[in-house]
Amino acid sequence: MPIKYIGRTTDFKGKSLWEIVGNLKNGGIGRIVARQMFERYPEPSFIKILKVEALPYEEPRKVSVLVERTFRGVKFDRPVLIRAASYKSDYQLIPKDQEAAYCKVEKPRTMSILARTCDYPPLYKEMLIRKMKAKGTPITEELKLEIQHTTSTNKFARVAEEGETPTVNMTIDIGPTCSPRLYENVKQ
Amino acid sequence: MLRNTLLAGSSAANGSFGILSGLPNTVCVQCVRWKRKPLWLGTAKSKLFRIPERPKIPKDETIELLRLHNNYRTLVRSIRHHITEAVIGSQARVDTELRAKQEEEDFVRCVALNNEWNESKAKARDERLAKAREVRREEILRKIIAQEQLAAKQLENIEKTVKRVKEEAITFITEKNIDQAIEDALNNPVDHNWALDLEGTIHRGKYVQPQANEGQRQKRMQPGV
Repeated sequence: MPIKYIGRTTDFKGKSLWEIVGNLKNGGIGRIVARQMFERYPEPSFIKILKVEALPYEEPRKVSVLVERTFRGVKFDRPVLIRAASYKSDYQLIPKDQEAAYCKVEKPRTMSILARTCDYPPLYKEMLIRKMKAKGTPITEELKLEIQHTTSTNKFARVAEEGETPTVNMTIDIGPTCSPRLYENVKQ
Repeated sequence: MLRNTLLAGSSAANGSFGILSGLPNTVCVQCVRWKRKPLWLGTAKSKLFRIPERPKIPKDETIELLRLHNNYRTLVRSIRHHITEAVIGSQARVDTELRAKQEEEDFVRCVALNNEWNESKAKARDERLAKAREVRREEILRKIIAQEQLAAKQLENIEKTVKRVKEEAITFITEKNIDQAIEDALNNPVDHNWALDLEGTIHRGKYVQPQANEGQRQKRMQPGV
């Protein structure tokens, strides 16, 4: 008989972490578990279980697991404690014979170099030029807006050095798109 | 409320207003204090089993929208930062070097003025203290003289007393003449039992001391009897 799902749909696919580690010998220490959500990235993301601690029944679906996390092909320096997110039924156990193939990082993530500057908005640029002219400031080079990127330690992106060619440019208009299908019917 | 609502409905249906219809106020007033149902009331019965359909956005559109939104936020942040910097740059700024120089000059001026004040104050203080010292010296001198005079007077008094006592010492009862004094006292009994009248006449006692008493006293005063 085919299974018919009713109710709201979900993006999760798998079991909660307790359902996995509770059924494994020795709490599944040393086994590889993956989140289905992170399979959207080309690089592999998975966790290796180091230590399991059951929790009192106040939170029946949760478990405290210390793991060695690899996210998008990059292993974390320190072990991570999964507790609050352990109830999510999105974990999948990787069979032992597939572990090596699953964890293999074929193409490591590349650091993208972000552009330092981009064009001003056209009207604002015109205003700036007029203001400078009124002040009598000589305009020697083209005016460029300095981009204020957000900074974070675990980002695979950095701002280009002086004179370096950036890999990610930013334009004040729509810019280069990956899906030209959406702009097919736009009239210029 | 229901009646009012119905009345309002009927008057509206007739095309006339409540006041003009001749009836009491037929306007239905309903207060709307909250726009929506409070969350703690839970899902409505009619919507309990409703399953909203999830929006289906194509993959490329999702990616494109994410890119556009990210770009928009970054650019707006950059422009805002640029404008903020421009505004801060256009504001009047304090020339720190000039300010420091002015402060230094002001300090030097203040120090000179302070020294001047200190000098004048020191001069006045010296004068005042010298005067006070003089007054104090005179006062002490006066007190010393008074003390000396007092001491001399006391010495004189003492000498006088000593002289008087020395003169009187001849009549003192000592070990040598105590027997004689006792003898004299016994031989010359003094009777204080007398009275004075207004003329100053002394009236001796009416009765002489009884013999028996006298004899007893003498007996008692002679040791070994």
